[in-house]
Amino acid sequence: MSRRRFLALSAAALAAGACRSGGLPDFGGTLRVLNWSEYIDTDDGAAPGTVSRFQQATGIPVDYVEEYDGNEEAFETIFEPTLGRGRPTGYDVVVPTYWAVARMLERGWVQQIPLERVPNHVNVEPAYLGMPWDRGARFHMPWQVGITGIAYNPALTGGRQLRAVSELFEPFLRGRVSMVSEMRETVGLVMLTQGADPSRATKATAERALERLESAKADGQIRRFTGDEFVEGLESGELAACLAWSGDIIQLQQERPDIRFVIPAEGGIRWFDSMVIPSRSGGASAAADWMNFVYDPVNAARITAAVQYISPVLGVREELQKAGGASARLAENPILFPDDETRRRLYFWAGLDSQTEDELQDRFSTITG
Amino acid sequence: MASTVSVVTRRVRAAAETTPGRYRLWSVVTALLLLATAVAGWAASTALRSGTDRIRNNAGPVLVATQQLVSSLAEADAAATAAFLSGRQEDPESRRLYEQALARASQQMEDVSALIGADPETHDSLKDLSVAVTRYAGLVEAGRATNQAGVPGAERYLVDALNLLGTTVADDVTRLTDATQRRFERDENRRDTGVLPAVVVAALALTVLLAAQLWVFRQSRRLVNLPMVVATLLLVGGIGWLVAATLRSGNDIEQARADGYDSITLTSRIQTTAYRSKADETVALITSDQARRTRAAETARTVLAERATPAAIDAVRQGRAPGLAGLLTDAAAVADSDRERAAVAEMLVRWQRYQDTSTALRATTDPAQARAVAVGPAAATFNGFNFSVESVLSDNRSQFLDGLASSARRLRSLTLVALFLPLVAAAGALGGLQLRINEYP
Repeated sequence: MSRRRFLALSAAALAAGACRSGGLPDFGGTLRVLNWSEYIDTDDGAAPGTVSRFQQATGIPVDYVEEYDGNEEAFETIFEPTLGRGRPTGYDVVVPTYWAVARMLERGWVQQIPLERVPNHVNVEPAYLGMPWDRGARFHMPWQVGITGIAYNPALTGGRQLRAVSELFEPFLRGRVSMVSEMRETVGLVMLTQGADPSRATKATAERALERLESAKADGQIRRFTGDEFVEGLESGELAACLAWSGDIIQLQQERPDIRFVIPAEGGIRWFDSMVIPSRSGGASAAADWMNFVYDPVNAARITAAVQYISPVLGVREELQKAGGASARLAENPILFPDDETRRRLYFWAGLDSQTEDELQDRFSTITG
Repeated sequence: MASTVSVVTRRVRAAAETTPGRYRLWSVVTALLLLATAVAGWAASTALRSGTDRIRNNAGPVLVATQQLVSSLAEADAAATAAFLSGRQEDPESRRLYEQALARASQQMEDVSALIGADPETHDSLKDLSVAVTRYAGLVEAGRATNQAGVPGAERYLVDALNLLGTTVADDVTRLTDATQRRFERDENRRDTGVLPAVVVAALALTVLLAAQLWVFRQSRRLVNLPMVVATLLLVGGIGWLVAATLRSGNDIEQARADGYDSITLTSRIQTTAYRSKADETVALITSDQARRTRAAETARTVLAERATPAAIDAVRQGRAPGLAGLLTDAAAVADSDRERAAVAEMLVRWQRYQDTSTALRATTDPAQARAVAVGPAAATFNGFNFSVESVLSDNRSQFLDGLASSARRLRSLTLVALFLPLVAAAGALGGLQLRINEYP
């Protein structure tokens, strides 16, 4: 038995033991997890992915659904029609972005995590325990963390090394730039170019950033606003530079090492998607077992190796180093494991009140078209 | 006046000479006592309800807000220190945490101020505290500005701020806490002062009602006078309800206090002791004061005297004694659910991580490297510990406030019951006696 397999089995056994020792009754049904697409390691030949290993370890069948396509859309099509009317969503774990989690919490749509079944809660990176909307992370457990920064193709920038978001507004990139369709990230990054701090965002500073975006879109400086389609844009050469999500670019770099990703000189936007148990889910105990399982550093390291986003789980770097090979190289990646100096340049978007955020979102949607 | 008394006496004597008259006399006495019971019951239940509501909506939240204030100030200072030590390129995350914690502390002071109403003692404590916190924030800002300007002596401001928080502010907080605790106890003790007189009046009414039935039985040779029996049962029910509701709501408050507030106090003590250790560690780092460093280590041992081994952590999870000494072990001993034990186990793990980074910090001889450890891993692990404590505090607060709410819920129908049951009983007694009176021409 290899060391990795031994560790994985030990972790699975521990996780299973923890499942049995909890105060909640065991869940007899199928655990339903709703997540973003391509956001977990999958079965690869003889090597089972996280879902299969969880099923083996706990005996709990899992229906893992990769249909979470966006936060606004999820609110409109899933959460409001169900949770908003006091009905269950049909899922036991959902993975919205942090600001959407805050909004769900505000509306009472999230259950408290049964911590007695999640001994691996001790592995939550401290930075994610201090969210003002859930201090101590009693209602959420981060899934993956990303940085929104600049990606570019040096061959298409004339060899110029891009360093700052303000450069994306320069004429030499006219019509060859895209920005992400997540309002808080794009607006936050533009705010940084204007000397405003997104972690202390106000309606006025956000509106100033929106004005800049509006005029850049009207002038043709910005070609379009995208989800992860910036990957194809960079690959095809349609885009010379864009705002991009760190994990997607690190994955792209395996095939296109020439594509660069930088945390802008002004600062980058940090975000995370987080696991929550929606209200009225009957499978809270199984959901807790799932959270415990994916917070085992051995399992979390496998997910990191596959999705290449920053892990919020303590101990992942050490596990990647132990694994050796490509995983060990990931352990040295400064985007996956930013040092203290880099962390100081990363900002979370400040939560504004729901009405203001809705107004900003409406205006942003008008600009993005 | 004398003539009125003599007229009444004459009439009573006259009435007492005939059987229907004696029935009427019993009616009047019984009805008057039952009316007095209704009034006393209504007054007692109203006082009980308003006293309980005051505890629930006022004294309880004040206690909670005071403890929250303690933890907010500890967190503000830990974050301010980390931001300061990060040097001229300030760590925005630490700064954000500092600002949020300070804003929370200000809000909590406002909450306490709004809740306490006219309570000069608490207002005085709060005013002193507010002045001290403002001075503290001023020192932090002065240290920050001097630090960012690269002017020597910035450390002095931070050390002064830490000392201010550790002495004046800590004393003010203790005074405020004592005042709010006294206030809670006062409200709790006053809450049910009207219940005993109401029960005494009701017991008297019950005695008279029973005596009236005995007399009626002797006169009429009928074993049961149904309306009077119903009246008796209603009165007994009313007394039982009043006593049971008083005892049960009192138990809820005691339970809330034991499960919630005492845990809040203990957890808050853990947080402030841990913070004091960290603050001493920081001052030692800045000033190279060895005595301060020794004090930091001693204070840390108050939190947990030995290393939190995996076996000890597992023991806490399983509800067994971890075989360690310290405040965290005390917290484990009072944890009474799987969830609470899991939360204490997490505090142990995170405290041990912080202690490991502190040990590394002490072993570092290069000042720049020591600062890097203090700002990086030591600050992160301390924050992790602090947030896990905060999480436990949140659960304790909910438990405490839920207990107070449950106490208030138990009294929801009491006023109606205490007023109407004796009134209905009075009507029953009068009706029952009237039935016998009607038998006479």
